[in-house]
Amino acid sequence: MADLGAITLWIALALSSYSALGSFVGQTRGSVELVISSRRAAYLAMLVLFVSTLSLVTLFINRDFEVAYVAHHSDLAMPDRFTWVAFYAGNEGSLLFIGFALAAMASLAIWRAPSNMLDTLPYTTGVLMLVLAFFLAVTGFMANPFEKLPFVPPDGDGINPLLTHFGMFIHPPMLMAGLICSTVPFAFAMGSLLAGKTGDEWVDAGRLWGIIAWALLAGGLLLGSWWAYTILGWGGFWFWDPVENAALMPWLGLTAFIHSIMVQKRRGMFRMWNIVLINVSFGLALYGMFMNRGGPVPSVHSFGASNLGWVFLLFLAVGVLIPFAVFFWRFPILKSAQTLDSMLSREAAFLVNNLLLLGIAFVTLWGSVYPLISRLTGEDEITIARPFYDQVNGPLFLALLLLMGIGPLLPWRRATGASLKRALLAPGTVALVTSAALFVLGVHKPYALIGFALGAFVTTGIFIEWGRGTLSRHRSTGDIYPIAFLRLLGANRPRYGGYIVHLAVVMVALGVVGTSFFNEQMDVVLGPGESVLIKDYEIRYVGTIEDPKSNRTEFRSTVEVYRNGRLSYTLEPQRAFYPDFNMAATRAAIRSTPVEDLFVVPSENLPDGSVGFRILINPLIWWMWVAGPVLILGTLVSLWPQQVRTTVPAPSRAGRTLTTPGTRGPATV
Amino acid sequence: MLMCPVCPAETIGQAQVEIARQMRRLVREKLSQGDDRQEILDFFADRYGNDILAAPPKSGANLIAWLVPVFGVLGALAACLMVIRSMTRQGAREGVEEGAIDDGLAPYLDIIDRNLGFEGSGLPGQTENRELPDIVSGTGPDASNEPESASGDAESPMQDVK
Amino acid sequence: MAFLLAAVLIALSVGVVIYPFLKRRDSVTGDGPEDVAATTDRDMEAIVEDMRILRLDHQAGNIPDDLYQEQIRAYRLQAASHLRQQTEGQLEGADWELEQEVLMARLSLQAQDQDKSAEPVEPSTDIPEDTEQ
Repeated sequence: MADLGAITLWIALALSSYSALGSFVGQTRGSVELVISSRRAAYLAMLVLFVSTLSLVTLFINRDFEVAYVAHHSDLAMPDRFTWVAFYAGNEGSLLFIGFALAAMASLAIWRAPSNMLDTLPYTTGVLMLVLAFFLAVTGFMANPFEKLPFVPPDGDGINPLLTHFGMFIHPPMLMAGLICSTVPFAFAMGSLLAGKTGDEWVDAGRLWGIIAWALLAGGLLLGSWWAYTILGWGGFWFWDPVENAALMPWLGLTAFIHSIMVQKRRGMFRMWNIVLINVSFGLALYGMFMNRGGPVPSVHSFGASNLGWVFLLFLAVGVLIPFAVFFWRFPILKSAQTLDSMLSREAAFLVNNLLLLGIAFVTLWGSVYPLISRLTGEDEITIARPFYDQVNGPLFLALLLLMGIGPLLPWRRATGASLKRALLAPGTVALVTSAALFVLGVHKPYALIGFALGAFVTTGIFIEWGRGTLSRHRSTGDIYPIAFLRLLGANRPRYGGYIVHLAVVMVALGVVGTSFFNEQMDVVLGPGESVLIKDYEIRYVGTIEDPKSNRTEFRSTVEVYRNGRLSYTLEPQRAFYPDFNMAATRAAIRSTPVEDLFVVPSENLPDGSVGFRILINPLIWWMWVAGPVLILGTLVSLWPQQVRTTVPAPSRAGRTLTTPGTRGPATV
Repeated sequence: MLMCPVCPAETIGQAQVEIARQMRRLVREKLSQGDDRQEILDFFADRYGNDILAAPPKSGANLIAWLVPVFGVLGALAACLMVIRSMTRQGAREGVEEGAIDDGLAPYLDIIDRNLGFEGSGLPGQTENRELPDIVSGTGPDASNEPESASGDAESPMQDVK
Repeated sequence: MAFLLAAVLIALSVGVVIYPFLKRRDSVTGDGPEDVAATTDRDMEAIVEDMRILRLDHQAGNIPDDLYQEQIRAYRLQAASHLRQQTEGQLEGADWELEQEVLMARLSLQAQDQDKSAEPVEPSTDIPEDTEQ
């Protein structure tokens, strides 16, 4: 089985290399057979990698400890369901996963590419296969999951306890898939450039896959935050850790991209800029994978020392330099079809949107990299952590929130100052009233007031448009309001899907502002029967059960929560100590309501039976987690294919009508 | 905010190790003694070096850490606004082409009007004068009498797209 | 067992790679007349879509009436011009429809043999014997 895995890995490498070379050579030399053969090789590579993946899974299930990777990341005690997680617990498996994910997404993208891309598709295939070949080569030569040990150990090392949480089943694969998925829109853009196309054929495919990559990253980031919140035991959700940042930055780039690609779709503008943007996003994604696989900066995510770093760095350099070289080569043909009509337009708003997003990315990059710079220039090393980002990125995020409210109110081309003012009236008023009301209720922190006001601003704007549209449709078609709204949504999926996503963003903002500015924390040691007061809760520690297991000792504590003198509920926070890893993993007990979270986690179990607890009150963080499904819903609505049918009969000869069923490409905002 | 000296990238608020707890205790003590935030930060920085601070001090060479991003973003914003302004000034509004309406265009205008619900709205090239109907829902003076389009969809193509 | 599967996959890979070379045929790529018609389709789509979005924004109160009227009229003219260009372009040459049918037949033969992804461009003159306007 290990041999099958290894052989299939090499087959896939051969196929992808052939496909890459064949696509480029075939298309430039006009050999259709070579192009077709290369395309099929790409599809087959996916199948072969699937077999390879299954081999590794089988090896885990069989606990075949002769294979080094299996021995390092599992043991006899491990329940089978953790096989999934163990698969990508280390570099070797992660790389195989990335390779398979890329092969699958590439195959899908190529298969479903719009039919107007015949010329550019071979170049796109070539780019995709080139990247795949790189990852497979690194996997095969430098981090082979199928390597065997010289002997068969009786038991494995076991799986890292931090990975045994439900969130770990989705967060890493989603993040890795998202990062590698950014290759797809990049490949479509590159393909178009290499084929010498001046126009916008790649925009539909670029938008589709850009959104898919974006959504995967967004989901991965939110899940990572959620996991950190529930498992890491300090009640926070974002570290500004260098590896986290490395995943955030490509996401920011992709957010910018999926917005400005709409301008290219609607108005043929920003052609050059979008190429630059997708190149940058792809580069950041490579950087993200580099930081994850062998980065030089210490982080919670460090997978241990790795020599993969320099290889990825090299590929990163190549992956940035060559696309930009191609871009400069094709620069002259990339003129935009139109020019900007006015500053008060959706186009201009998207430009500012891009600027803010890239600004945040730059600040984040700077913050990640500056400590290294300061280390090199002598003196002492500087740390850059949360306070830096709060002060520098905070205002940028708020500005972005403001723009999110104003942008949708701007039409394409131009608006008049008067019309904009009229459109801003209602949302602006609601925002001011909200902040006034909050101020009166005791909220005095300026950033919090602004944050909440902007959230109200955005939400009002969206609901007003929804209301107006629904009302108008109701009047003209007689549908009842819910149906009218659904029909409205169905007729404008990209736009309304986008609004749903914006609402999700507001929810995240709500959670961030609430928790960042209004949380309360208490670290306390309680003996059995003792209690402590926090806010309007009385927390009473009852006792702990100590449960030694095969690879860990579990401490399950019981805590009673009283409000207004009455017992509301009981919480059971847990802490487990893994002697092999010299690590403790906690499972916080969280009572979550839309208003606030009560968060209790044991930080130490003392020999006399008392427990050190960290107790947190996190207002509004519930909204951040709920935003996840809302975001996914919005994305699905936005991507749901919408045919723009132009059934415009024309006068024709011989009494026959000429209809033009146009099925290409989704509608856009 | 202070970083935990032995943990990879955690503040003392986040870290669970003993030294972090000790530092937290020390900070609490100092606060109760009346030290203000800057004094406490300075105290730790003196003993452990600047890297114990969670963010660079806003002084001396380290000011660069703050200034570069701030000015970078502001500069980019200014550049962006200038670019937008130059683009809008230079494009003497290149609007949608408004060609002359020649006679040859008339039958086509007719078809467009009938299919997209512009009939009788007093637009150039038309003969009658009536109100502009609601394009989105396809209602209007004549829209309800529209013959089926090839797709068999009774609604104007401007309305629901399935 | 594992080696058998590996051998099968290797054979399959070789086969898949070689196959297109053994079944030679010519292909139709690049701009044919049908591509011009198809492009105009997309332009028409774009105009109709622009109009729809304009209408939506007007309804939502983002555009004042005068700007709206101005732009919608301009789109209307643009749509008519495109329609004219499309129709008259296709009416050139008496044998045009015959040529079209031959091309369509060739393309569909091709589509049967090749990948799905090498789908020919949908010919836009899919002419249903339907409503006469």
